[in-house]
Amino acid sequence: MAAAFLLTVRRLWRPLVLLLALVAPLEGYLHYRWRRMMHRPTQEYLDKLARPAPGQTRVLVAGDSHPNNAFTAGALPDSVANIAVGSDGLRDVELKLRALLARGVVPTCFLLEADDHVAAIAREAVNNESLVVLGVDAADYNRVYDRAISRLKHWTLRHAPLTDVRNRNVLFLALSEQLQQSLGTLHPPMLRPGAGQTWTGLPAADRARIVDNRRATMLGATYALSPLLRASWIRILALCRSRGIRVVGVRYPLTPEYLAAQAYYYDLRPMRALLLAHPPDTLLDYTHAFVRRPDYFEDADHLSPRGGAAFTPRLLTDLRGVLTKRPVRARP
Amino acid sequence: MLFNSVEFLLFFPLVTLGYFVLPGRYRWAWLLAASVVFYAFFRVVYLAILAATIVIDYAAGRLIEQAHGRRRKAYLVMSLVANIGVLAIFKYYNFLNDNISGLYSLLHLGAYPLPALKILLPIGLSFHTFQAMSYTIEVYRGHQPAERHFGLYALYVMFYPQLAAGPIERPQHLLPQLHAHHSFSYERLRSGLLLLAWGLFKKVVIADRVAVVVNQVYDHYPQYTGFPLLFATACFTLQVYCDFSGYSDIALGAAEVMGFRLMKNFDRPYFAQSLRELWQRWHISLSTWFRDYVYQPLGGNRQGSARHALNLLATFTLSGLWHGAAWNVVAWGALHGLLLIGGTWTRPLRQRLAGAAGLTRVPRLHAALNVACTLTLFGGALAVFRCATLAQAHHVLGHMFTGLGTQLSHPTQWLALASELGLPKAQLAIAALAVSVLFLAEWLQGGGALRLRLLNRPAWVRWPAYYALVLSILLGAYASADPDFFYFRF
Repeated sequence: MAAAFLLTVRRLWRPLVLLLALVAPLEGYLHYRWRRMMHRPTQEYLDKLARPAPGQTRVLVAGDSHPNNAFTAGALPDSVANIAVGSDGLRDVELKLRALLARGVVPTCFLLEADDHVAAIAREAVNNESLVVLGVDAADYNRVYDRAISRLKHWTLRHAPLTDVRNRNVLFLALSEQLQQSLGTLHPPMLRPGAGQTWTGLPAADRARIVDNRRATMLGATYALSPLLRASWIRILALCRSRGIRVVGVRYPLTPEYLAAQAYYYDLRPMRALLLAHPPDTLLDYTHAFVRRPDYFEDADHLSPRGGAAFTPRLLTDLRGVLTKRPVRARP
Repeated sequence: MLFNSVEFLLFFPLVTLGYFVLPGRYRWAWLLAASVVFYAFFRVVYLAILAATIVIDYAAGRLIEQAHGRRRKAYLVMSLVANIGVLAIFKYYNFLNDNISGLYSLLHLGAYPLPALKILLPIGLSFHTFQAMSYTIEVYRGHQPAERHFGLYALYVMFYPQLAAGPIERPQHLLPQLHAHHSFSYERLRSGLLLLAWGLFKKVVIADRVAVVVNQVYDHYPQYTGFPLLFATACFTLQVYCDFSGYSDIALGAAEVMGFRLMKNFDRPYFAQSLRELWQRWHISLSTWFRDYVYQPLGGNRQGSARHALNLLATFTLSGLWHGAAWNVVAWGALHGLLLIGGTWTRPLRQRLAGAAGLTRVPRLHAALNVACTLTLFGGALAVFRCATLAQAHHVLGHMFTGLGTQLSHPTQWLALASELGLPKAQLAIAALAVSVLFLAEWLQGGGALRLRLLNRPAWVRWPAYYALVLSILLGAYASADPDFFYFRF
């Protein structure tokens, strides 16, 4: 037996070393790119947010690309932290909030995205589960996502995130988009039309197609609330209330074309009902805020940097008004 | 534990190494413990169900062997009732309950008294139950002596490579191997690892990638007509094959490294020239199970064509029921039974037509047409299998050709249409490339065992092929929403 083992080792060591020489630099490079490109929503980001002055962050903004695009980073005071990331679902938001609270970051105010799509059934499959898992407790993750990942897997994901195929796919997509952008061949049909280009600069036919695509992506073929996302919404409110955090629901600006398509195709009353049954402490509705300024958008439902620059001070002013109200008492 | 998981990446070498390092008399215990850990990763409570059936069937085997006459039969019936009972509770109770409750309300019989059970189907229940039943049946038939060693019998049911989704082994094949001493072999190591990697390639590069299109279209089927439905069905035909045969390859490869030869479960089914042949090459361990324990005892083809047809229909309907507790899956099984009956009855006519059309003079073209027809029928029937309900299957099949002419009138639009179904164009291209590699390999396999041919090549041919396979898995793996193997749900 020992002889057979030795023979195997003698036969295999050279080709295996060669394989390692091929794979290790490749994986090292991918890991390096991952750290560079996907850094933001991971453990390090959450840690950094907590580290400098845990008491300083008073307002926390969370959600998907709508809040991510809506704020001009430089225009935000230090007391406001925007942790929104494109495609973050309500469960991702909940997990991030739990992770931050566990690290001692207890904001005074939590800006929770309350757009019609956030709890839609069509958004159930759209999330950053594989990214958020890196920065949160395994038990929280299993509870919120109804998964059963082991401590070992969680530890592995934290230290070698590319062992998760979903993370590899996200990285490869980002790398290929970066390559296409550098070659000047990337013209995606719906997002990021390009530097300086605005919604109103696109031909009408393109706008119509983009709106159709976006509303189907965000709200689905037929609109209904997802029980899972609805439950997450309720848990977020309860979590904030138990810590005395004021929840401000924010509905972000949309283009007139998108609003018209929403009104035409969908009955959005289920979201209204959710907001009535489980309301945030304050609701700020900006959906129609820029209907006369479509040039503030870069696509059907995302503000451009210019739009963000106009939106940020407006929201901050409204927020100041909200924050002067009587503080929310913790209700465990 | 999933084969395509980080846990398995650690588990497999550790278990294999432990197996060879340990003295022979402890190896069964090591493998049994490893199998328990493997299964416990799914849900620990499932182990209790497995343990109960193992104890019952072990005892039944011993009792059947010792008994004579009617007692022998009684013990067999006891074992079958226990196994089918477990299946009935965990797999079919809610299905039956729903239907009876529906019947109650249809006939206005008042409130239906029995509630639905809130239970999860244990992973691989149908597989290990059928494997356990084959043991007691073979002992009853006198083809297999009852196993004395309880641990080895438990390992026969729980052997981890085939525990979750087969192959459904026969006791005559696996039990002697569990008794035997297996020495470490370099040849088996590389052959097993190659098969394991090939299975992983099929699963993570092809099946998980095309699953995105299948899920997108079938989960939102009212949105689609024509090409998307056809394309998603074609993708499902690939998904289900690559997923299941991928699992089987990984199972066979993992077992082979330790010296065990599991039953071959797939033999290039998509090159079959008739549905009958396809079923001889697809999920072979289940097809032969139904052949030996249902079809043949019913009389097979020995009692006239009408009875033969009835036997085929009954066997395939039962096979459908084995696959899932839903009417569409039962209908899928019955549909295959009907297609096979039709195939048997129309064979002389088809042969005459082929002769008249001159196809017999060009056998390759004839074979290609047969393969295409077989695949079309199999794929069409799979649409029924993939749907969640009979109503959905009716909708999907009814709209599969709606608007197809307009959609396909501009060939340039095909790719654009396909890329709107969840997979971007680049991913579709990768899937197409991987599928081409798969079919090329299977076509080459027709000239003899490709794996053995590759293993006998010089190192400069072999190793680049191994590297290509490993790199294609590392770089080409795709994450679907549900990484589980498709057949785990059975």
